[in-house]
Amino acid sequence: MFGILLLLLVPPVVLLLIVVIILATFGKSLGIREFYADVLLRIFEWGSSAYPINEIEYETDETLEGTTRLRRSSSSDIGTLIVREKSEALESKLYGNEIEPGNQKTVRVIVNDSLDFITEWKAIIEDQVTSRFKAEQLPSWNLLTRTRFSFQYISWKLTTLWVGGFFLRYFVLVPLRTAVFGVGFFMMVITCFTIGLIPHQGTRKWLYRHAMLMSMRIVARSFSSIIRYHDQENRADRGGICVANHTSPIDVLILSTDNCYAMIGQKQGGILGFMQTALSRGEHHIWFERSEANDRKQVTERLKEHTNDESKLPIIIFPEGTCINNTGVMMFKKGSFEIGSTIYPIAMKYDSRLTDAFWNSSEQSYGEYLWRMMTSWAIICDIWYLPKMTKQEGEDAIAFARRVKRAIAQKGGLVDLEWDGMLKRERVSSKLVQLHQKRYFERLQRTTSINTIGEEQSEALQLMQQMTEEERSLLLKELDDTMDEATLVKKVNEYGPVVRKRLQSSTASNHSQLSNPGEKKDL
Amino acid sequence: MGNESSLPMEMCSNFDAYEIRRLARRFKKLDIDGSGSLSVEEFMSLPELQQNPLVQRVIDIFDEDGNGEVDFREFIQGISQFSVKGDKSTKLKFAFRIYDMDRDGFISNGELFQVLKMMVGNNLKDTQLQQIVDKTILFHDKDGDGKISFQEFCDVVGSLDVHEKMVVKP
Repeated sequence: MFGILLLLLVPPVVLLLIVVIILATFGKSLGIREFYADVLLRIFEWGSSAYPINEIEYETDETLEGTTRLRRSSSSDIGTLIVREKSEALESKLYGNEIEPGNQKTVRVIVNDSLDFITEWKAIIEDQVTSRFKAEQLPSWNLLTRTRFSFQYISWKLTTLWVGGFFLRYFVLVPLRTAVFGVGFFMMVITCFTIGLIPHQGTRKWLYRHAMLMSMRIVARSFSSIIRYHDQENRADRGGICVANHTSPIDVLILSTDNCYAMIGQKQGGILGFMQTALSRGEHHIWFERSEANDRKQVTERLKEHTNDESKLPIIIFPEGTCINNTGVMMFKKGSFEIGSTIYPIAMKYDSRLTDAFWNSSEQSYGEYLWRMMTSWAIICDIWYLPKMTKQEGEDAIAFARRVKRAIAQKGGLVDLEWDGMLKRERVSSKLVQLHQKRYFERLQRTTSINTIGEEQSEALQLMQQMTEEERSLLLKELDDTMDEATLVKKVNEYGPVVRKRLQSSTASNHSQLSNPGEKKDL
Repeated sequence: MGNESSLPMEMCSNFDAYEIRRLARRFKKLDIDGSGSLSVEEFMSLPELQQNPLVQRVIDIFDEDGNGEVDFREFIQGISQFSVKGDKSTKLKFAFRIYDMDRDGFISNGELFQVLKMMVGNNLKDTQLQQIVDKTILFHDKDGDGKISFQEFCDVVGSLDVHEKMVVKP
């Protein structure tokens, strides 16, 4: 009985698969996925409005981010923006973005800045950096258990929905998706290996391009991905460098459904490693080991070589070097900005309402990640092609990288951060701490007179140390906080003759104690 | 802790129950080894603090009993000094204690030197740094005892917007 039922199921499923694959091949859509996503979003919205579960849920939620999210979403994003600006005060001071009057009183500047350093401590309550490496919390529950820690009974309606969703995802979507993924994957591998055998370069490249677009589209369908491309006229042509923000290993897959790229990246193991080998058969890609520090120069060389060759594919680079949870953009490594002077920036923003596409590589393996994507609702991603950017005259690679990053952050609606994404794995190096100190020193030089400590000033200091208590209190009465340092020094030096005279007389005569008061009255 | 043991209750009143609960969760998260207190290493797991030159100073202030670790009570107490509800003199006192390393109520020449050294590193020659320190102490030490008292410190900082600056919302 069961067997017959299964047999009956086979033809429609196969038919469905064929339709999906054919559609994917030509990049056409019947609008079913869009409709499906729309329905899901409506259900979630209904769920969270009909049952304001957030309050209850987050109270018992184990993470702190949950609560922050809730508070933020209720007071919109304005609140977070203000906090951020505040913590950027120090940063802008150190980078010298802020125009401040020079020649300020050293003490005031230093004390003021030490307050800023202390203020940085609000990081212990909520820091911007480590929270970018963890999955973002959602404002409404999307019926995926993983966005929360365990399933909780809220109401029978939601429970039914959740159970229904679970069956749909695991027993209908997963088998279909696995089949589509399998077809796409093997198609890619097989075509790559066979295309690699074709001797004629032109034919090979043409075939590779189309085979890749086709198989990538099929693979992308296996996650029910809905990808919206914007400003496609800015797409990179041959021999350029494209940079994008990095969220997950499927970033590249998603980008590849619209354009063909040469890849550069870290060598991976397992299924990803196999894919890398396959890809290298068909076109020119660059793979390197993260630990191969001495290889880096060679990598740059190869990159240069690659970009200079017009016949080669544009390279896609994720200069953050690690996956960020798609709420911010972290520091861009300068390496990719040293090679050519033209960069094609791409901003990617995932809609996390249906699936969180972020890969937390320190918690999940690639296989686990793929499984999670397969069992999720759908991946929605917006891609913006930004107009190409060129290095300006006198701009170094770091400044150029920062400018490109800012542009991407703006387009994708992400927070622009100055932090190194590698902090996920490593601690801040002492070199960086020293850099911080150096920047701070430079700031002091800009704003105070510490670098002009001259003869006159040391003289004044010496004088003040030689003064007696009464002389000093007299002097201090004349000085006030509004004077700048030069006037202060001048004032002090006016006392020079008096003090020197006293010193001379005190060494000359042995009853210095007695002669002092008399001299002071002369003032 | 000594005579300050009466402080926590009144300091905690800077936070409501909800905020305390949130801070407790945060504390638990920072306490990686689950020892019930935060070590310097645990604080340093926050990238923002790793670069901060005054990190050790702030930990020392938080660490009231001087055992090298910050327990939850010290954590709440420390943060409450940044609270919106905290008054200006608390915040000034905190800033003062950054420089007053031995907690004797005065900033000595040596202490100021050490803290400035933390901030600028080796970018300034020790002799130059010493000059800045000497100058600061000489100009602001109104009573001529060779060190800066809290009152003298307030005179320097007084006009700065300490209150607005040192505010953290949990």
